[in-house]
Amino acid sequence: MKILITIMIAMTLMACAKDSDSAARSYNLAWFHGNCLALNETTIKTDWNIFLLKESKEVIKATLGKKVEDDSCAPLLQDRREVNEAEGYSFYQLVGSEAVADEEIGVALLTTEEILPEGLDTNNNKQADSFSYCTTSEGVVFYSWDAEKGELEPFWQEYYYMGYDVEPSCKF
Amino acid sequence: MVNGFGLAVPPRSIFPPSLTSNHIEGKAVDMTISWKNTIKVKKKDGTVIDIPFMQNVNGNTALHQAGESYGVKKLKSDAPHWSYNGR
Repeated sequence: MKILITIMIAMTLMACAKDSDSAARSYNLAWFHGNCLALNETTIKTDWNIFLLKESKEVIKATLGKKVEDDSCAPLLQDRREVNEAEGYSFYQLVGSEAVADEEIGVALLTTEEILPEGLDTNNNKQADSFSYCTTSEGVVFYSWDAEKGELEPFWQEYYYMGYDVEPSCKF
Repeated sequence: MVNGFGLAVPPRSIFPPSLTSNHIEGKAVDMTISWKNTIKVKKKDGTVIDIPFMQNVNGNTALHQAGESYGVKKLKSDAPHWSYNGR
């Protein structure tokens, strides 16, 4: 009897662990320029964690600060504001992002999770995601892709209008 | 000078400006176009088409068709950019 109860407890714990492991974690993807976060999602709460993915592969943890409506936020500089606002973004200060230089840009992950797991899977399709950015003729595209479809078919992308012409590097 | 001319140097941008842009030769224009509901526009061949307003101008194929009939082509990666060759 004792053995049977032990087995049942063990099976219950295994089932719970499996449910927990497979539970879809919730992530929102966004982008940042320096201390400024561009959001087109309105359900983000101020207590969510924000992980800033730097080009150096370093990850900086920050939180959501106050909404910014002046050109202290680079995407709201005079030559960019109209188009970036038309894209539907709102802009927020990042709190705790001192390790991000003013000129740095990159993808941001917003989540209720405290830490980012290995093999991060933001679209819950059991494939690890990759993140990067490239330039169009006048802006930057931030994007994420799965290994299966590859970098040329990103499942997520957002555009940052820069207000002047750059050499395009995007391949898609 | 950086502020006066709005120069795109760090921290405004880490990307050097293009030296091959159609803007340099005056063969491209950036413009933001907006209207309400649907408008009727005459193409160069005289046909009139309905063009609904779309927030995403890159997806507004009817607007692209109208522009292209006059030789003004949309660069679909960059919202405000139109040019003679779509680049």
